[in-house]
Amino acid sequence: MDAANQLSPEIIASVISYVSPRHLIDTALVCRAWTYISLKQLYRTVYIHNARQLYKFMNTLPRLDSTYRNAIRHLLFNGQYTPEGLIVKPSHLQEMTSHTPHVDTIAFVAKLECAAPPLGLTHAILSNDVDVIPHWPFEEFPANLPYLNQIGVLLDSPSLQDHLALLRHPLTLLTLTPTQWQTDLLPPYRESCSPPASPFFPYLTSLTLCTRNTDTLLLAPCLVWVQQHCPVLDHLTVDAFTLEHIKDIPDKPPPVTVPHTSVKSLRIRADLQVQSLPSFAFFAAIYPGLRNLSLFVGVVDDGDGLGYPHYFQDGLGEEQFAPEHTDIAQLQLWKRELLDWLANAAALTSLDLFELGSAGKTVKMIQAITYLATQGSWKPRLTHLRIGDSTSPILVPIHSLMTCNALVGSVRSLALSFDVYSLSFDLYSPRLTQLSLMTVPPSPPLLWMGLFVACPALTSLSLRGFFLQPTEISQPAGNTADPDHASLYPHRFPLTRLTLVNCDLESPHLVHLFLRYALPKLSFINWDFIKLPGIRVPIYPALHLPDHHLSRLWLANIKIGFGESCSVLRVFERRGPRVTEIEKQTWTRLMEVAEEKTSPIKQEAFDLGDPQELEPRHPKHFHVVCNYAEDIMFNSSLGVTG
Amino acid sequence: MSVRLLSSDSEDFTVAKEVAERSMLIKNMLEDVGDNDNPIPLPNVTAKILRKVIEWCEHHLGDPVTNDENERRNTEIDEWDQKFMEVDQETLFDIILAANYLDIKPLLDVGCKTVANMIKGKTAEEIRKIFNIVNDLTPEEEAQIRKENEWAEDR
Repeated sequence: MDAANQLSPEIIASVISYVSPRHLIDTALVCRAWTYISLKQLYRTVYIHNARQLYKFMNTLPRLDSTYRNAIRHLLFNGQYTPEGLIVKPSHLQEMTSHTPHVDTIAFVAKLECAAPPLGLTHAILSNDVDVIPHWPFEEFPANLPYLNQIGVLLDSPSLQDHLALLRHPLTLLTLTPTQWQTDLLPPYRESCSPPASPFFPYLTSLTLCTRNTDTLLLAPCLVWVQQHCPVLDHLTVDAFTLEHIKDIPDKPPPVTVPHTSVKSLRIRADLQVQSLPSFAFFAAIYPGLRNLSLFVGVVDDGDGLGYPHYFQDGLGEEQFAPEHTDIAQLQLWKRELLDWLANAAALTSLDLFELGSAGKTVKMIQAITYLATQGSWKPRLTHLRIGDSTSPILVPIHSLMTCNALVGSVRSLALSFDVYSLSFDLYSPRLTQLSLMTVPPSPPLLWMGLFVACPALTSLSLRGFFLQPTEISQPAGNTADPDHASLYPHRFPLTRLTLVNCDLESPHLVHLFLRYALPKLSFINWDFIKLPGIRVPIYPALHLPDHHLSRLWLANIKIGFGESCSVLRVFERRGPRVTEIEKQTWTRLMEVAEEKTSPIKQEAFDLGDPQELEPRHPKHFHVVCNYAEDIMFNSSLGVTG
Repeated sequence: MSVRLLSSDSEDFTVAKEVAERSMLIKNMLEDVGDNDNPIPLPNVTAKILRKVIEWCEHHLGDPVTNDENERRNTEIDEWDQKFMEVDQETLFDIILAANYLDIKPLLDVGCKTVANMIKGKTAEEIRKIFNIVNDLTPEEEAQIRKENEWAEDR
């Protein structure tokens, strides 16, 4: 049956659009029609992440068929994961863009020296690291770049106001990082009750206001201005400000009519002064339609440093507290406002709460929201919940939180970060698909494989800072028919992503058997700072996953015993039909990365008479055996997880 | 409110209007012809495939319609759809063709993702076998494609 011949080129193109870049070479070699579709897809987004690749690409470019050169829309440079970095010089960019007339996006996350951006640019996304920002003449942007509509990071500029005025209309994404952020930096702010006839940024959907100087005050009028002048704003991030004067806004809704109450997603990271806490009533009034709320706030305690013993002691119960201090009363009010806000945010589906108040206050907060939810005065419809506090040990709240069905019953994605001394999960969440747990040393032991039984629908698991113990499995003696003990892992779980950071792994041999048999869909492995126990010959560190497709394999800082780092990664790929007799498999040694030499990549295919060849013979070599690996990163000195 | 659909092999299906309207083709037709008891002929879809397509539309009836290209692209195939797509290759391709003809974008996406997963990790030769494609590239052309795009393999 020649069904594929009936699939139109458009459908084939749509299929190929889901194929990852490295694999596009294989699809390009299928036949002439596929070559065209695959290479057009490949060249649409050119993603360069090391210098060698850059030079190879630049050599190819002039000789490349114009069809593909004209197909190039995006040039992305990311040297973040290459130890030597990636330096893109003005001459490089000039040369590249001279061959690629239709590029509209150039993005950098790299050490960068860069001249003026090319005409036709519509997005400019720059790393916010001050050292890599190219000195592009910002004042000339509007004239030189008529199509520009997205700007990542703009550093503060003495005449920001003029620039904003110049850029006003076309922008859809904007990040501002002034060191001083005051209303007088904004174009004239008038306290009016009606929205302006001609808003400044009619198309802006995403705005980030951040500052490098944490003393910078964010004034309520700024937010009112933003609301008035960005009528279709979807995402607002307020980063690193001190929210203080917002309390100057009266309790009644602010003097602004917000026609579409457009903001769906609000993220606040800020420090708060106890003496002058902002009013959440203000936020509640100005952002009534929120779906996603992230609060990362810390209260700067200027008081006696003893904390507030009665503060929020009894959840929202009867008024049992006796404020001894005006600050306590203020904090009480503030918490109450926050809870009122949550209780009235009917559309809220995603909530992040981090470090509310000073040490341990998150506990009280959890008790309070749990109380609200069980009592029924808040009917949360949360599907994503992230709660954390890195300042104090917490034992009870996880328990009370996890058993509060009204709160976590509908949650699909849960992230908890706690300082945990002992951890016991009464966690049975058949609906949970994403779980992230983080703790700080001393690493508590965790029978982590049990998590899969408790959360059978998990597709993504991230664990940080644990001592991971395998679940006890009794091995039947002398079962020679099953040397790998595959039958010990009769259950299959749908996990696709496994992130482990700062974890001690006990029994790596059992871990890899578990990954191999119980997690057949695993495709995303990101391990950083993993400590394996002292290796006894002949079990050297390895992941033996011969049937897995790995779309990401990032390994960094794998240590054995006391401080010995794995310095060589060897990846063995088996591409091709499933062969039943292992002797006949052809393996490709895809990559060998050593610490001393930076990324020399060898590719060679070789027949293996003896599968034992795939076993590491050296304690500092980490072997990964898989069917196919896509995005490989290996490092023994740098973190890859950021 | 229900709609009658007639497959290419003349089987008559009666489905709820909102189910049928997952197909943009049928939706537009209904808007054009108005209320009308005549069955809508679908000359490109057999009864076997139409049954599958209707099953899919019924299951996904409550799904929010998203126009966000990124969101559509990045969603992984859910478990139900995975099971749904566990059919022989010919049926799979026929479902894709039907989804394309009937203009049911989300079903087309799921189909294309399923096929993309089939070719993941396969060599060109294996892909040719799956799709029954004859290689019309000369060895020189193959060598050139490899050479020219070497940069993309380097990572």
